[in-house]
Formats: sequence, structure tokens, C-alpha cells
Amino acid sequence: MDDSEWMAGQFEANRSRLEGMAYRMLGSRVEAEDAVQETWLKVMRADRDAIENLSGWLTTVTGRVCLDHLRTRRSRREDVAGIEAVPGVEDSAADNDPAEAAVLAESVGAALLVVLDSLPPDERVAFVLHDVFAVPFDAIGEVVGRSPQAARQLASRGRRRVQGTPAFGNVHLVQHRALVEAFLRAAREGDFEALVRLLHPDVVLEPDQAALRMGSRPRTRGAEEVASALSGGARGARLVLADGLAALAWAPGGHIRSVIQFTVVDDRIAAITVTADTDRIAQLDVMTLNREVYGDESDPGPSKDL
Amino acid sequence: MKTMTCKQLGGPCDLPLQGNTADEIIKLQDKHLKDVVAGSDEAHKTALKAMKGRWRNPIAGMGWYRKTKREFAALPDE
Repeated sequence: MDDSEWMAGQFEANRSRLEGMAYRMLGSRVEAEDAVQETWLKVMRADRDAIENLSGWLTTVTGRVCLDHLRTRRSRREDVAGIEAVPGVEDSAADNDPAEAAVLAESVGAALLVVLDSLPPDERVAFVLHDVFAVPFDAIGEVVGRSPQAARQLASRGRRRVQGTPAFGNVHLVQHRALVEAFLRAAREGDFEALVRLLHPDVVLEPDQAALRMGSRPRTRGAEEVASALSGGARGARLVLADGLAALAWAPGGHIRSVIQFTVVDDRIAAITVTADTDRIAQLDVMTLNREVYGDESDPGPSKDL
Repeated sequence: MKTMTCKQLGGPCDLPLQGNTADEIIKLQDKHLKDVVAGSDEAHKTALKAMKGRWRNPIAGMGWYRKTKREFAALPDE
């Protein structure tokens, strides 16, 4: 296998991740495809010997291409001056009601793209790469052409703007992902105490009918009850993004059989919904969160075959 | 600067595309295909589908890419 064949293979292994990333940075499937295609052309003329971490390099290149697209798009717009009103994002759900927060979480994926469209290009890229895809700030700095500290500030500003939007006042993507990761770890290890600490006292485990037919636990309420039901489970689950938020998916053989989504209230998991209905799964925007890209050994990350 | 036609790049027409590198020409051809297909041109649809297939299946698409680079390299400078 020569260098370009190896690079093509690596690109293929990363392609769906890059498309998902580009889609969230650009908010358009067509533009995301164009961005990844442009990355592909850069791959074909790259010098393999000069690249230490190809997955990270691909992320950087795709991020830069997306940033260029966003800057070009912004320069075409004559009506952009500061932050615009965000259409379709109005009242937030009640602050601490898990049921209303669950309804809110369902709309987060689509609404997030609308809110992201209001961010300046650098902030959008820094925020998406860090808060959604856990890309470290030194890598983001390379993408936006600034220091890691400046990249951190950009992401932080983007986060504040997103959270300043009523619909996202209660949604903190980094914290949400950290909770889901901690939940996955505790469930796999059967750490009952850790699970209880992560769960809201009134947490609800809510499987759909298809999940029940597949053997899921029935509807369960309360931190200790839900922890008992889930402790030692989730061994086959993988960390994914579902409609823009960290979630878990069970995908034996690369085929998604169920998706577990989480609602966070007061820094704890307040609702866990298990979706196994194939029509509903098909409507979800699910993609892998590939944490090994930057050498995170603590979580081997999901299969690329999802 | 060199010139290749849409037909030389797998398309159906003789539109000339100019560039300093094969990559530039490929990007121009990609844009040309998208533009004409967006204008409801049926003849270019197959070529656009093939172009998309190359980066979606990069290993299989490498043959076309290499062939295009070879053909571009063999052309005289203008």
C-alpha cells in the first residue's frame, strides 16, 4: 500500500465524523459535503511524512475549510451586524421541571443550528469543535489561527451567546457530555453510588414500546431505583451525539438498535429516554463522538462503524 | 496554466477549464457540474454523481484522481 492509498483509507475511516463536524459548523448538508470534499483534495496532495496525527490533521483542515466557508458567507451578508435575533427560538421551558426540560432537549439539535448561525465564524468554529466534539484548544488554535488561550476565549464567548439564548439557558453542552460520559463509566463498572450521585432525585427512566419489547426495564422513577436498574449495564453502549447532544447508542454490528438520551437539570441527569423505535431512530441525527482522535486513553470511544 | 475540458474529466460537454494544478481543474469541474445540474441539466447528472462518489469512496476513487493528474501533467503549458 502506498502513501496515498493509506491516506485514502484514513480519510474514509474519518469521513462520517468530518461530515458531522462540518455540518454543525456550517449548518448545511450541501456545504458540509463541499467542505469535506475540499478536505479530500487536500489529503490527496498532502505529505504523509509531515503529518503526525492524521485524524487530528483532518479535523484541523476541515475546521479551516469550514471557517473559510463561514467567513465567505458572512462577507456576502449585508444584514449581519452583531448578533441577530434568533427566529424560532423563543420561550424556555420551566427552569427545573424534568418533563418540560425533556421536551426542550428534543428540540435542542435543530434549534442549536439556528442559534449557531448567529455566531461570528471564529466563535462558531471554536464552540462547535470544543463543546460538541471535545477538540482541545491547542488544535482549535491552529484552526482559527490564534493561540490556545484565544481559542478558549472564542469558545467561551460562543458558549455565553448560546446560553444567553432563552432555549439554551439550561443546556451546557460540555457539562452534558461530561455527565453522560460519567454515567456510562459508572453504569459499566456497576458503581451504584456514583450512579446515584449523577442522577436527579426525581429522575425518570423512560423506554419506548419498542425498547420494552427488546427487554428494556419498564418506566422507573427515583435515583436509587434507576441506578439499580442500570448498574452494571450499558456495556455495549457507545458515546454518540444525538440531535446535537451527547447520548449513548447500542449498535451491534454497526446498526443502531437503540439510542439513550439524557436530560440534565441542576447538574444532574433528570430523565433518561430509551428509543428503539426504528422510525424514531431514523429521525434522530446520530453521529459518533470519536474521542481517541486526540489520544484520550480514558475512553476508547465508539466504533467507527456506527 | 493548462486547459482540460469537462469531457476529459468525465463530463458530457466541451467546456474548457483552466488551472495551474490538477486540483484547481478538478474543483472547477466539480463547480461546473453542480451549477449545470442545479439548472436542471440531465446530461451532467451522471458525472456529478461519479464526482461525489470519488470522495465518498476515496480508495475506489483514487484511480480517477491519479489518471487526471497524469493527464494534466502531460498537457503542455499555455
